[in-house]
Amino acid sequence: MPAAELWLILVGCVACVTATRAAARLIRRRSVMVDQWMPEALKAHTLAYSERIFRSGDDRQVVAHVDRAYRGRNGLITLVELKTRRADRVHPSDVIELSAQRVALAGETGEPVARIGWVVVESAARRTAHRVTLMSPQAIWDLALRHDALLAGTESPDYPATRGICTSCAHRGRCSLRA
Amino acid sequence: MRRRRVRKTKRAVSASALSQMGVCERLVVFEHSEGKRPTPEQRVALQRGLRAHRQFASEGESEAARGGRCFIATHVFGDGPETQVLRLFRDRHLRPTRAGRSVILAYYRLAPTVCRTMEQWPATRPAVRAAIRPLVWFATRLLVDREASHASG
Repeated sequence: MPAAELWLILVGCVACVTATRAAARLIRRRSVMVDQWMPEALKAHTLAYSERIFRSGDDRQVVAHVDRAYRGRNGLITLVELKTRRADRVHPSDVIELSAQRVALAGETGEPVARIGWVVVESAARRTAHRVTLMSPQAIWDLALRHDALLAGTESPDYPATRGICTSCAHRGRCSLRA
Repeated sequence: MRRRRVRKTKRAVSASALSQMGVCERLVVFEHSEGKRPTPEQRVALQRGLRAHRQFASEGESEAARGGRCFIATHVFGDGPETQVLRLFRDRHLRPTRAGRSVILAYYRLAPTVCRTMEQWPATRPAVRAAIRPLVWFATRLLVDREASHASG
């Protein structure tokens, strides 16, 4: 067998071994990530809903896509929302989203939904669960009314609380007061 | 008269639209009039988010499969419409009440034994299926009635 072919086989073998080890490492890291994020409070719960859309049955509908919802032994549903971020941080918008999900799920199914929810932040190949207290349904209805008023132009929109949001905004050029 | 018409109209707002109000209200108004204009960095982040959600969803599916492997309905009907109806019945009619939860607990205790019996003697499966069918019919009726009352209310 010529030396060139031997070298080719050797390089192929090394490449295969390296690829297998890399894949195994990736799978191991992923499985660790999957297991570690689950908070103790949810470990005894069972998964009730995953990736489902709910609509509250009231006159003013709230439509929400729920990432996951877990059911406790007492039948109480706890919501979990996944976010991918560079920084391991929870934003006020996450709390609003989970609170709206609570209104939609409780409205459609009639099941009791906990006032406590979890935001799972995936950053740098690891997940961390953050416990958040959700807003009341009335606060969500008020927010929906304000949303309508903003779109109708009857109320003027506020600027964000931090200017960091403006730096990555595509509408910064038109939003001249702060830019 | 006009007020009544407004009340009957179902106006929908999404949870993500409401959550955007917590980011920037001006952005909500701009995107309503101009449409979404993600920057290249935001597009990349969006793709990363979609990939992570797909992964999270598939993990959820396998978790759900692990959790529901020994239920009688799944055993005899597979993941068909009958099983879906019985799951909805369990979640919407039994779970909200204490008595209903006791029924579910009793069922969970009984189900693995029945499933094992059906695995040992497959001939019993048609009999179990025939026994469950009236329950499926009853659950369907209740769910349809509930949907109708929701729609009219």
